[in-house]
Amino acid sequence: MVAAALLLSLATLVKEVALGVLPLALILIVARTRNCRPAMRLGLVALFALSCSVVLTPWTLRNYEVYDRFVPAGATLGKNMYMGLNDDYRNLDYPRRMQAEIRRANAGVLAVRVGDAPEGWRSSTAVNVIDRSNENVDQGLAFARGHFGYVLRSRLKLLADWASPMSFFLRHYGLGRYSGPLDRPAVRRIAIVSALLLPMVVLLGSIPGLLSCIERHWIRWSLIGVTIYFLLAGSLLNASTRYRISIEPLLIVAAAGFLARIGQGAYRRSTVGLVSLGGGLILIGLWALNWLELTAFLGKIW
Amino acid sequence: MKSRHLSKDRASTSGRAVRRWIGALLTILLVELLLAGVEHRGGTALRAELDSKLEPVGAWALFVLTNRDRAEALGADEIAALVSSGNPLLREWIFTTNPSRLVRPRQQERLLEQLEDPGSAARARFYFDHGIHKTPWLSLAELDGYLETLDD
Repeated sequence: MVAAALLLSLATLVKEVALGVLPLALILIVARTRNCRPAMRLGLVALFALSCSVVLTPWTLRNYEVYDRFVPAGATLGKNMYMGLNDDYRNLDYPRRMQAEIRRANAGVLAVRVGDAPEGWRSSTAVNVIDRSNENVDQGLAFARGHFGYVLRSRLKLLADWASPMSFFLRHYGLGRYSGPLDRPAVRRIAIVSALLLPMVVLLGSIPGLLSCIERHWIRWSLIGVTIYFLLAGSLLNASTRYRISIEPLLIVAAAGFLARIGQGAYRRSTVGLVSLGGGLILIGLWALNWLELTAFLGKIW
Repeated sequence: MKSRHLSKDRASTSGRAVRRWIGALLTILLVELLLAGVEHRGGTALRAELDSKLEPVGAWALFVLTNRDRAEALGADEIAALVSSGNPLLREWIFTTNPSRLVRPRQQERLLEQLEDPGSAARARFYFDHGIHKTPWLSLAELDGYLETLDD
């Protein structure tokens, strides 16, 4: 309990987006200890909260000293929302010679994002950086409410980039930016094809794997809940295949579980099968959104 | 009967362990708060002393030198006021500590014209100690240290 709280709090200091997981964890503790005596239940909740406080308090006090505001971890949300909700496509690591073609390949998806943002979205100019961040959050939410269709379409591109098997590093590897024994053209081609196919297999297999390989309901739904939380929180960022949700090791294990038990009939249950099918179709749809960009890039480097 | 006694023992052991952990964490938290209080009092006293040394720019200059994020919001007039305040440390900071992010090249050119003594000893000391390309933002202790060297 203490170790989990300490690790979660340390994660929050690294990235303040993890701050939202702490109250979720508290709710989980309250739910899981419903058979305990009230005193013990209160003690466990206090133990978790105190463990988090011990880690976060020094930085919170430092922030109050510097900014004169209550900031438990960080304050990057406002800036991220400003860049993420109204900015253009951000895979800017493509070489200049490819950028025009990549933009053309994405024209259909980015039709409402290329060029200037709709009027009215201006960054805050408050002197205090925390006030600036908070004002940007308010303005970002107002912008999203006022331009819901625009924001929704840009979130689709964001999801497509997240699910894309073409990662930032794979792209750079394809461009020949990493020297070494894997840099030979023939080796690179095999490696790129493998590196594209394997994440697709993992993502597709992880859906039924998560739903049926973890036998304890509360563990399964905790993991799914945390994943959904980070998906929602990260949905405010700008689209770029630099970003990943840090659950890929879990997805690999889940996919392995699915493949290991594929002949055992666990997936014939209608719920698991239906959800897996639906999830698979969503993934394929997201890959289709990036298909032209992927083929344009592969055509250039092959 | 026996299993109920075992459960009671286990429950009281767990309860003791939870109380011990809570006690330890509360102690650590208390120590953190005490240390922060000491730091805050020390920082307040140091700020008051530095304010008097940095007159007439005073608290605003302290803002600039200890918090880069706030300094991003400085306008050209405010930067000019800092430059013309006569404090060589402020002038050197603008041109060596964080020039590219805070002051645009054209602003730097205009402000350089206002400098009376571009070859000051404070600048030389600053360059030597920090390195010309390094862009630190000064802690209160570092700021105090540099002000002391200027008094020499």
